[in-house]
Amino acid sequence: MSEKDEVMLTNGQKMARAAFTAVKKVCAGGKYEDYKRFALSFPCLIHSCGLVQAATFADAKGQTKYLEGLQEVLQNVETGCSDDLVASAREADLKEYMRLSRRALEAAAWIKRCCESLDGAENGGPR
Amino acid sequence: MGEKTFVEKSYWLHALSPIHIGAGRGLGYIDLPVVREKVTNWPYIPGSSVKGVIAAHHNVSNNSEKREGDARIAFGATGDDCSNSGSLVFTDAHILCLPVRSFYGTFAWITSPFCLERCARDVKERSAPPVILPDEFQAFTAQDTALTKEPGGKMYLEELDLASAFNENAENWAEKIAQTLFGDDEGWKKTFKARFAVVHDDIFTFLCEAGTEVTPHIKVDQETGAAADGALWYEETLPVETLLVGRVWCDKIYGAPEDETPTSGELLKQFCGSELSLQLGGKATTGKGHVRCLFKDIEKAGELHE
Repeated sequence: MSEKDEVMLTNGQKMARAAFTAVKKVCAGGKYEDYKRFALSFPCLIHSCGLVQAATFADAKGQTKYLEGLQEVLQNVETGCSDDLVASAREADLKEYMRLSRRALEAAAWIKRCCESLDGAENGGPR
Repeated sequence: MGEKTFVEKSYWLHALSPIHIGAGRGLGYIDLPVVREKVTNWPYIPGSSVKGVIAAHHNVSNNSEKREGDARIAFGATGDDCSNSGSLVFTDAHILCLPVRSFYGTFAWITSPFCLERCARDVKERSAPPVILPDEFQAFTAQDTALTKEPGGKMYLEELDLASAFNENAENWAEKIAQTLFGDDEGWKKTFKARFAVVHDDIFTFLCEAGTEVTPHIKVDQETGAAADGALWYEETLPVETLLVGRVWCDKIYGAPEDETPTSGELLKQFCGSELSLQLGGKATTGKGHVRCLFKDIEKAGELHE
């Protein structure tokens, strides 16, 4: 699609699209159950502990696929997130960190929602 | 419809246990979030919730068709041929101070310049000048703050490190709020003033989003004794010690017999007079929603308290 043809999307749409792609990719590649379990609880981990703690925890637990997906979703909206979310969270100044935290929560919520939606579809429910 | 004298009070809510006034099923990452203002995203308590529990506190019948006397006039009633609006008008309660974990002083009662300006507007407070923060990395405190190691030292709130400074206007606000909420209780007034801090509006917004309590809940499978599959959900609550402020007024009397019409002042005095102990919102059987509710006259310029 050329630049001229590009449609304008809301940030929610951009995140939804990227999250759906990321979740589908993991779903097709195996180890989805572990990914899903982590995805369902990760947003509240950010809320309770803070972004940098939660992201470092995910990194320490080897949740690379999850962090990559989260980065992809974040990079679809203007967040100042680099290719390394953990580093971005570690080094952002206070204002940038607050903005990144808010966006990361939205992105993690979209991934959670997509996991639940995929479950619903597999069980015969609506997607 | 009777007399049209406008009588107004402020009501102040002090959370003695976490409050869950839900916004229904959440579309975000929290399954049962609390209600928030659309514009600020700050949590609030709807006036309808307050009005309902105050009616219940005064033993006003849940069945509005059976309401009689002043209770019917104050809170209204529905019925096929005998309905009337309530004469008492409760606004939503806006957040005033959010308790936030602090390295020094255990926790801080934080507020922001916009919060204080809105409170001043709501309760018609004219004597306290606005608190203006120089930047977003600073917090203003009262004189004898417990939130720093030494005067002017660093303040450690949640994961934010802020520079602190004494500010006379912050001291004035701390004194006024402490007086309003704790009256002659010098111990609690001192406790409040030592933990009072004014932070930048953006920091306050961030903490309103990240500083609420979110707790996971599960359903236990009776067969296995473990968590049932898929039965994990998250609930959000306003933390204990949260302070909120709203208004209640009466400008028209509805549904009163011609010869027995109470005045606006009499209605407010009868139902919104002394301090009440209320239970607001859901999860009552797990101890949630216990609040102190205080009513204060707000028509006297320059005073928050009666």
